[in-house]
Amino acid sequence: MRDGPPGNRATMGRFQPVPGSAEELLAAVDWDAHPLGPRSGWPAALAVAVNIVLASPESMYLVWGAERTFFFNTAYIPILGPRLPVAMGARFEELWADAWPSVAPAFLEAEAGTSTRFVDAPVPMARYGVPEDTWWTFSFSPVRDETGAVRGVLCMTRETTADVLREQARTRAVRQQEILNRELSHRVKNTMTMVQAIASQTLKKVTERDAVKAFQDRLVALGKAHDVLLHNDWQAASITAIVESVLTVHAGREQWSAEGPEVFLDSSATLSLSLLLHELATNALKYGALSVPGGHVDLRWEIAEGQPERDFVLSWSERDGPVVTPPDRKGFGSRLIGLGLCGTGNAELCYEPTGLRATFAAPLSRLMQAQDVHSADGDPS
Amino acid sequence: MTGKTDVRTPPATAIILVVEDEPIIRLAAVDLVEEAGYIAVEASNAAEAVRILETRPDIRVVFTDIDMPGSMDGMKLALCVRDRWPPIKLIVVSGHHTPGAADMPEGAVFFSKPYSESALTAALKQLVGEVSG
Repeated sequence: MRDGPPGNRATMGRFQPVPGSAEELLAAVDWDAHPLGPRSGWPAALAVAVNIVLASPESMYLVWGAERTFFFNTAYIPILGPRLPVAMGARFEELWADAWPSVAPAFLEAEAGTSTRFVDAPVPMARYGVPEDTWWTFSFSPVRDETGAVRGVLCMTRETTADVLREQARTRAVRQQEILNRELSHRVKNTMTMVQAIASQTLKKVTERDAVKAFQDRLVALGKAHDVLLHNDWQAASITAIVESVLTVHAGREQWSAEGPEVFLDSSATLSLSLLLHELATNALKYGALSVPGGHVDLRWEIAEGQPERDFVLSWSERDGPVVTPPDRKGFGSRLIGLGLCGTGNAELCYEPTGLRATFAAPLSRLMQAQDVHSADGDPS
Repeated sequence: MTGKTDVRTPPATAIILVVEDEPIIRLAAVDLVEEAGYIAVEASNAAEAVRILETRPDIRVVFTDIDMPGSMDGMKLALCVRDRWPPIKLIVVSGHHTPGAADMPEGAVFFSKPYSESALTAALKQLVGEVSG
């Protein structure tokens, strides 16, 4: 799409001013009474520079000479607001007295021969009589005459106030969301503590203490997963932190090892992995390698290239424990383990003479739904 | 559990001050203390806890939540206890904060809420044992 300004239709090289255009405003100035004098007497450099400005579809202005006379094009008109009627040919620092303090240093540098460029620079001004914060992306460049002397300054400018305010509002909204997330997870944890208190009171007379303890322990595991998530405002949790948080409850540091690339899991994967590890560790503590002092658990994970996408593979290997056999009945714990990571059901359990070996796999994207998979695992591709 | 004989349980005279603003959670905490074989004294905020401590020299352990309304939260209470009644042992719990060792009064034990009741009971017994021993 061509998007030409209304003021630059040229006929035989001469401007035909369009009503309301910068050309028309330029023609309306009484130049005979102006320090620059009649247009016919202007130096060639000024005439050319003014024509370049007038013809450009980008909003820009030119400040010329010792008087700092202000010229602008049609695209610049909306920026002038109420000062438009007096703007053409005005003295720059009088016309823009409100913005002058903030732009003066860069402007004077351009007069001294050095260009400068600013992106989203704050320029406080009072365009409509009241002070307001505005932001601009602009550049100042010196305009030289045929002898090489700086005679004026050209400014290409675009107001970015709307963009900056939108970005600020977005940042604010993100921050509010974070506060809300934090507050919400605090409430969730309060509620979990209440559930625990109610359960321990309600189930006081239940004789199957194992079942009551299993329930309480799962609730505590869920609470710990929330703690890990809270560290990162509920966005993602480090797998190392999750593993550590669960396993330290069940075993001394010398009884387990964990190794694998750092991966950040989203909240639902964090809860899933925490409960899965909790069940594995609870079983190991009751029947497996963690039930004897010399037993070990080796936890390994990796990202495996797979089709159609990469898989996260986690293996849990017990050794130096008692001889294990598959459980004869399927309790909730076994079913939780059978669900695998995020309920994919991809769980392989081998009860080997050396101990339980369990492998779980899930598409990496399932574990990191709320984030960018590539940036989260450090892969720049 | 009650009814079982635990040789490690010290005489059931140790008095534990339970400070928790949420009544149901306080009820369960008091229960936990009594199940462990001790006597529980209750306070629903830090100011009340300080008043009790000022009148009862027999409190051995203060078991407090951090997050409570009032000008003094559980952490300030714990620091105050460490300052004014150094022999009293401390258990601090919270569902919101995970204080680092540097933020905690010396010797205080921290549990995140919801806590494992068996782990908390074990910590309580150990602290009472330390006082008695």
